[in-house]
Amino acid sequence: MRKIFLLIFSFLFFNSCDTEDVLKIDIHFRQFVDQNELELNNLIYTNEADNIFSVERLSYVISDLILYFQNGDSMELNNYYFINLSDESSLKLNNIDIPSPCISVSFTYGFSQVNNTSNLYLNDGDNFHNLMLWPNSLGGGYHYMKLEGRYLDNYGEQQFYNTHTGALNSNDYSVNYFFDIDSSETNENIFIDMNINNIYNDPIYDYNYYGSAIMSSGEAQSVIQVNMLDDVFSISYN
Amino acid sequence: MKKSLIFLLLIISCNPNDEDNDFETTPYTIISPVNFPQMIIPGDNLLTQEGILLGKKLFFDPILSSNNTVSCASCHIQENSFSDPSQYSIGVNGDFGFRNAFSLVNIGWNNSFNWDGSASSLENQVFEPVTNPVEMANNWVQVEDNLNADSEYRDLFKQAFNIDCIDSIHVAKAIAQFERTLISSNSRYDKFLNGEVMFTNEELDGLNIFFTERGDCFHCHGNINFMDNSFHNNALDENFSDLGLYEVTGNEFDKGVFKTPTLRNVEFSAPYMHDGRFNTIEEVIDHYNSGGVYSATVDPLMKYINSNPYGIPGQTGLMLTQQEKNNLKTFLLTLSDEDFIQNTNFQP
Repeated sequence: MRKIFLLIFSFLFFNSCDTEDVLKIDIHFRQFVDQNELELNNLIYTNEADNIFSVERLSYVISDLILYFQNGDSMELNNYYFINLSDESSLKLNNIDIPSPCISVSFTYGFSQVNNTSNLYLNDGDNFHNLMLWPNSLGGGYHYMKLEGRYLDNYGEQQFYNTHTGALNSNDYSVNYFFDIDSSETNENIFIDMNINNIYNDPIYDYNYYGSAIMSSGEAQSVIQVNMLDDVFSISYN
Repeated sequence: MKKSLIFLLLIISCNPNDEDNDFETTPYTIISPVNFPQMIIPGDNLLTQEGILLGKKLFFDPILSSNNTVSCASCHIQENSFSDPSQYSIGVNGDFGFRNAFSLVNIGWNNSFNWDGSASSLENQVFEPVTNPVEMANNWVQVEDNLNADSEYRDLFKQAFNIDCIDSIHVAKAIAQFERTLISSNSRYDKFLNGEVMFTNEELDGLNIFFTERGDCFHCHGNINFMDNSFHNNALDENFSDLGLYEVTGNEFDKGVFKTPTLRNVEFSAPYMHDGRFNTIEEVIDHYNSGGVYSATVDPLMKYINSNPYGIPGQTGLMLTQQEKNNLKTFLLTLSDEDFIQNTNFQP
């Protein structure tokens, strides 16, 4: 009898001390060219304009990243994330504590106007200010993206492209995204995927037409923005 | 056993004396000038008046070299913005190095050091030239012996770090403290940013060439210190006699890649490039205006090697006119800071 009492007591005691499972999630930033994971420094890709190109350097800004949860809560993560392929640690956010399953995600590619003034991130880590500042002569603030590499021109000669985007003359070319997530199963990973070829596909962007440098070109910035609006970023999860 | 005991005693004697409650230093705070980021100072080497004074004495003293003839200041000369006007600096044995001495102006805002990034802190950077056979050609045991034999240095190290036995770590700390004070922030460009002066039309055009893709200088030299704390192959050579960053990383894509130098006081810091190949600012501008030379690791920012901004067949480079090149140079000269060059706080 005494043993049974002890057993029941132990069961109740340990059950009462049991906390709810703590939910965590990882967010991954991945880069693809169509279905293939990006391979740097290889002149193997072809875009919609039939430019054969490589990618040598890629860095971009994701800001206002917000997670929405089944219980009605939401969580805004850091002001911005600097994804830089030269820094592997920038490609993953680890072990984010969440209150209930995540049902949707929103973020901004680049910076909204209010978060994009010169020297705003002067003292931030990861060399962000030095690498991404957008000069005052072009409106100030920060680059949204630096995508650089080589391509073969119409004569088969190797040329260089710098697809640098930002708020040219303070025009806001940032793009807001919102994605729903199937929360019927508990997800532990969210993948925010970029397809580089979709930066150039609709409308078609030809390196030969826009040239190597586009920071001063409102036309090029607009074309990239329209492409960004559509399908450059996508979400997957598991 | 005997050796271990001696080693133990040495360690104990070289460590700061924690029981000395009377030890006090005078803190020195670096106030970042307007538009500058905070300087990151390691927590184990906070600046003090005593540390800086000691660092300055060491910087100018040839005692660090094997034959007492070469000091840090031999190759980092104030009137040249703490660089060397010679292409290659001469060491204690009359040998020459193979890179131009890096300018030390505003060096405290750097996060890697030497043209190949081989040192990750100012403190680490101090170690290499002392033992380099074509520089000071000394060894640290000898340096420590020489300093410990000098009563003035024993007093100064005691005052700065509360140590009774001088060691290499504290030598490096002191020199790094002094180097962090080498700040230039009173150029004509700074005064322009602060609204104290107006730029001429030529200076303004030069600024716009610099800070747009017309000249595209800003991608590597765009911040307030005119360097990006990063590394690039700026299209100098097709083949490399000096492999640069590759020597440190072993990465094939880092061959011929070097750290971006500051352009502050560029007027005073000739010759230019890691190997000091260019003697004048005009030669540097002509190099970039030409588009440069193709190589496997050339930076994509050097985008007009095989083309030009206007799509003109057969032409390469930025295609700046002579007037635009002159204006760009005029702007670069606004980065000169005479106060820095003449600052008596930086003199022995």
